Amino acid sequence: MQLDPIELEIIKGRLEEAALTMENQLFHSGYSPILRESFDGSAAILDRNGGVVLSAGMPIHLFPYYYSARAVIEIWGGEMSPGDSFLINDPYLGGSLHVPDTAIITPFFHGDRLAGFCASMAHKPDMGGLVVGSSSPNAREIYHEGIQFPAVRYWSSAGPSRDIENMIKSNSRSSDEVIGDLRSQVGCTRVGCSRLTELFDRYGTETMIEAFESLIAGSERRIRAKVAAMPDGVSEATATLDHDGVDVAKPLTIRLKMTKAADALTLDFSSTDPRAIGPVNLRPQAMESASAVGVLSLLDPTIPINDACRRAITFVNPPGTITHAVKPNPINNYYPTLHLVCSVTQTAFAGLSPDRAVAPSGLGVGGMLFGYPRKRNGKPGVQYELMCPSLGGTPSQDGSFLVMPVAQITPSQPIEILETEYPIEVLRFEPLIDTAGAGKYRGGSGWIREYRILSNAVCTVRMGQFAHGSWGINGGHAPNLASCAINPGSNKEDQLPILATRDIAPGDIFRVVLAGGGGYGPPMERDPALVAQDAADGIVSIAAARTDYKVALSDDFQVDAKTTAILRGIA
Amino acid sequence: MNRWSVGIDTGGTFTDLAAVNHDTGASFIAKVPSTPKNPDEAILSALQTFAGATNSSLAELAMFGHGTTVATNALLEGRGAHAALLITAGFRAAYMARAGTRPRGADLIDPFYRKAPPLIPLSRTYEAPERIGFDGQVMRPLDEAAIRAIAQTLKQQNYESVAICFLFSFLNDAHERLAAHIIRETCPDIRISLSCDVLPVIREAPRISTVALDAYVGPIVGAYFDALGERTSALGIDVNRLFIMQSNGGLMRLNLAASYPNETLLSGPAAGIAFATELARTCGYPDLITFDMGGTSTDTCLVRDNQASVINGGLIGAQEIGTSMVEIRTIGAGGGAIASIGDDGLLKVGPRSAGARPGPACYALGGTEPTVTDANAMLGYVDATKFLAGKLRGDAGLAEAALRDLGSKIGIDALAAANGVRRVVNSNMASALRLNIGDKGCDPRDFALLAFGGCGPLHAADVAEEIGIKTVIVPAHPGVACAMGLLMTDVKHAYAKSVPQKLSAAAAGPISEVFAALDERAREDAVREGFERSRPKLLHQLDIRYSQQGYQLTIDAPGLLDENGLARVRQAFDRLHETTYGTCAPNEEAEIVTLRAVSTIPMPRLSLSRPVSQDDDAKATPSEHRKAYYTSTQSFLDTPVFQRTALRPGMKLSGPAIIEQLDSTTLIGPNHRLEVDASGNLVISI
Repeated sequence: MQLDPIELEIIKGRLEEAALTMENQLFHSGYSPILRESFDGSAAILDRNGGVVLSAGMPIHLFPYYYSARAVIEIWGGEMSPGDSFLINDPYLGGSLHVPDTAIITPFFHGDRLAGFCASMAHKPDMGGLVVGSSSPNAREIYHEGIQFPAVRYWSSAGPSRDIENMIKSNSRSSDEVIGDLRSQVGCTRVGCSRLTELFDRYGTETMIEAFESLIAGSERRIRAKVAAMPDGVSEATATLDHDGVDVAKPLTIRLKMTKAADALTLDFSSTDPRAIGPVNLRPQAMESASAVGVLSLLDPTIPINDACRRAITFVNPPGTITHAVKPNPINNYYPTLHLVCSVTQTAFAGLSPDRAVAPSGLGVGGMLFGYPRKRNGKPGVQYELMCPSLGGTPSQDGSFLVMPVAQITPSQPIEILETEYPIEVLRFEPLIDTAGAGKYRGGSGWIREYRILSNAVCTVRMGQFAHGSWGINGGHAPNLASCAINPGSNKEDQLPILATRDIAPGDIFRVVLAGGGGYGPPMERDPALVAQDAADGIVSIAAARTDYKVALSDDFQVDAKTTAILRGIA
Repeated sequence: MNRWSVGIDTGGTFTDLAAVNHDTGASFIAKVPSTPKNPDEAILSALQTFAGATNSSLAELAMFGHGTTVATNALLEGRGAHAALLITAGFRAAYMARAGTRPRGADLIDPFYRKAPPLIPLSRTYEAPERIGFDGQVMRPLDEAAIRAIAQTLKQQNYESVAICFLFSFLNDAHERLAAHIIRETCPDIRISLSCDVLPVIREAPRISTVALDAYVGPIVGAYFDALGERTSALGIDVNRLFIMQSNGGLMRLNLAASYPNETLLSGPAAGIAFATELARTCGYPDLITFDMGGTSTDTCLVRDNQASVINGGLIGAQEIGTSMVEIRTIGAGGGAIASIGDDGLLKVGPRSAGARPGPACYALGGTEPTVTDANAMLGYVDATKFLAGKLRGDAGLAEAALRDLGSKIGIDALAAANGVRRVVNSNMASALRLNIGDKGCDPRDFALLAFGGCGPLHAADVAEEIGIKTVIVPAHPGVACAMGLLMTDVKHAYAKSVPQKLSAAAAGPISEVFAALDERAREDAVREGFERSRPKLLHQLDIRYSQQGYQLTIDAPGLLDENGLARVRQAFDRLHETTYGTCAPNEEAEIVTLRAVSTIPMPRLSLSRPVSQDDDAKATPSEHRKAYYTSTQSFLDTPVFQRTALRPGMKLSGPAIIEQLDSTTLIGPNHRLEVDASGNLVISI
């Protein structure tokens, strides 16, 4: 039977409700703060082949779901039964972006027939490995990055596997939280399955399987239609990683050749540099997710992200490069590289379709940890903060300030909570003048945050791109570079590389600077009134207004129209 | 005696009036067109309508309750005051970063994504050299000379208001108060909002946002209330009897309202929840979910054990606000929601709305896009010749034309399109309701659905059936429920202050002093409102979390420091965590974050449980029959139409049936049954 556009809309609404219910359940019942506070988790409904039908939460979990479910199908095949849930976080066997991201894949049976999967993925606080959190700058092999589960049957109709939970107890520094989170992941997939049962009972197995396929086909049709409307052609873009994670003198380059022919898009990464020694590599699932997000963000961000991306976009990504790590390459600090892939994809896409171009966001995204022997309450503890740059300018507006790139949440660590819990004093948290990439529409501003640390501590920086920054587009300018420094401006100044671990002494100052977004279009074309407003806001200096934007401003930020016209050569 | 109380709710299209006579029990309702530019004009006209129709004297009103949208509209339309912001030096990113924002759908990847813009931009943000530490100690004294210089600038720039928010001012307010004092010396007329008064609660970002809102809408709201007081006085009304509905579902006296402008941001919708809570209590439906479907959107709120769900923070007009308010969730679909074919080829309903102008196609006011109301007209549920309380003569043919056009895009006829529009919007609303109920760890089958608003009763039974709700209640006057709610609640104020500390060590902490200070503020406000100091009934609450958690749950904590008081609170917290999130951690350390005092002062109320003589044998007589289409039978059925005024308590009938009244239309499906309860509510069994 052919589903009509009314029935399919209703089923789609119900599936979205099911995915949201799963996601709510995951975030509400999870144990660990990282899951609840950083929203680093998601839930999805997959078809019987492992293709994502729809999901709620992190869009970059798209390909990870597919590869994880494929591994479960290949390993367990006909042995799967109702009541089973499988645990997989092996990034080489399945689809995890790195070891702490654990997937729970629960087969959904209608009657005795496998009809799909409900799945969830969530970042765990610690899976063992070299350091707390499992992600060490010093990892040189995947085996340094924590315990990996290869699609094991974690749950059966008899309940959770004691074997597996005991293994976690022996291997994780925070096993209670890990087990609590895993159980809530299973719980959320079960809620999903019961919602699917209601729908399958009501509409029948065949109709629902057809609905799954129609929803994926619908996204594919939309992607292909938008691609077909673009001119055929080839576009190339490159970006350089600061270094290979070990040798600061060894930058690595990502090279993308994007080919558009008829309604097909091919992304060829085969000229990308060989894989790195340090943990800055990507598994294909990370590269593919970042590229798909990059393409869809410009093509049409309202297209539901599902298995259609896998069908409509062809990836050429031979093994052995930064974008296709091979075992046992370390991958734990994948996010800055994934972000760079997304920016490269957007830039290559802009070459094919300049009318849809946007400037890339600033670089430097990453995490920062301070481990204290004693928090304010006397117990040891880890302060974990995500550092996010700002978005790039677009053809119609400035980039947003301080947003996580590729998955645009804004993490929250209130100053008053930080100071109440940890022996730390926040000295500044401000936009930094003249850091936004100048343009007709500028990037969001870069910013600075400075701390005084009041006790001994160990700090770990896992960020990206302090040497090679973002860029402008269609004539826009590049923004500032991100950086991290201990005791800046003093004789003890220590400018950190992107991956670093340092001992901190009481009284040390720690400064982090994040990059603004790239500029869009020639700064000369920016409305002088907007430049004046930026100057009044302290985002652009009067000097930069003159040099970058060719706008003359008075000391009280009024536009001197006559001088501006001369500066802009239109007098 | 002839004492009336009057409630007036200003809505987008109509200003509704509900009145009750305390001596005779008589009631009166009226609707007049709203006057958005000067909302008080519609209010005066409603009052005059009331006085004329009931032949009563406005000077003798026992009480006048008012729900207003002045603050909300100023916010949504960007018409707030020229306001400045003064913050601790060095922290200009704290407000603009909007930390904790979590977008949904396309916004997660859209390069054009925007966060809510700050109400007060950086160019109007000033930095005070000062710093209070996490323990309330002064780390850097306030630079008074710098504040004096800023005060000069504020004066030169003609600011109407200034919001002041310093770090950790909830622990030590000295710097905020000193800065206010210095500014007032230079700018005696400027309105000053202090975060230590508006929201002395930990977390700087929501606190700055809340105090900025206060400064942004404060002058507008103040001017409105001044004018309203003057104009109602001129009609002889005693302004001391004028009360404003607040977001928390309680009233405050007019003279206090200008001090608490943020509390009026949900004034109108909160009145609907006050109505629902009273109905829950007096009519015996302690657990219900409201379904207030209007022209552009549908509001819902959960009522459990006669208590409306309350949150201590959320978003209004995308702006973060930390005040206590009834938890209303809005679904972007109402009677005016426009149906279209999406890029994916599927039938979509909303979120775009035709509004009141041009309105649905069948209003014949120039709209050509098909809406939910057009679908209802096409299906025979509403009579297009009797829109807007009979004041608008529409044309069902225009609905058919718009729906035919829609259907042709997907190869179906106008009737199938109409039925599709209705099914999609009902399914969307059912999903949203189920998510709301599920978020609280509740089962929809345990709730009744209370339908009001112009369109609620037309969709409620089908939505209820979809999610397994067995009972739908349609009150006597569903179109003026908010106005009635104004006469059904108490004076209520909430006070909060953050004092982070371990729960287990609370006895040794400053808890008693902090609660005493909150109680004192409540008593002072009661006196300002003209009540005795001893009148407020005070409830103490604590916001508690497990160590390391980023969010808190609010627990009632009477007798906290009595013997076993702490243990009792601790157990209550673990239990609430379990019901809300499915887990709890009784061995984990718990921390108090914020102390709260809720003050209530009872007011005379409009009663819903008025006993009415019941005649079990009475049969309702339809005023006409109409052909209406039903999905369950996939056919038109000859459907009796009853006038609501003809239905008496005790009457029963089986669907299909349509009940018409001036302010709404109720649809009873073929498999549904209707009984009129003792209070005159329509009770539909699914």
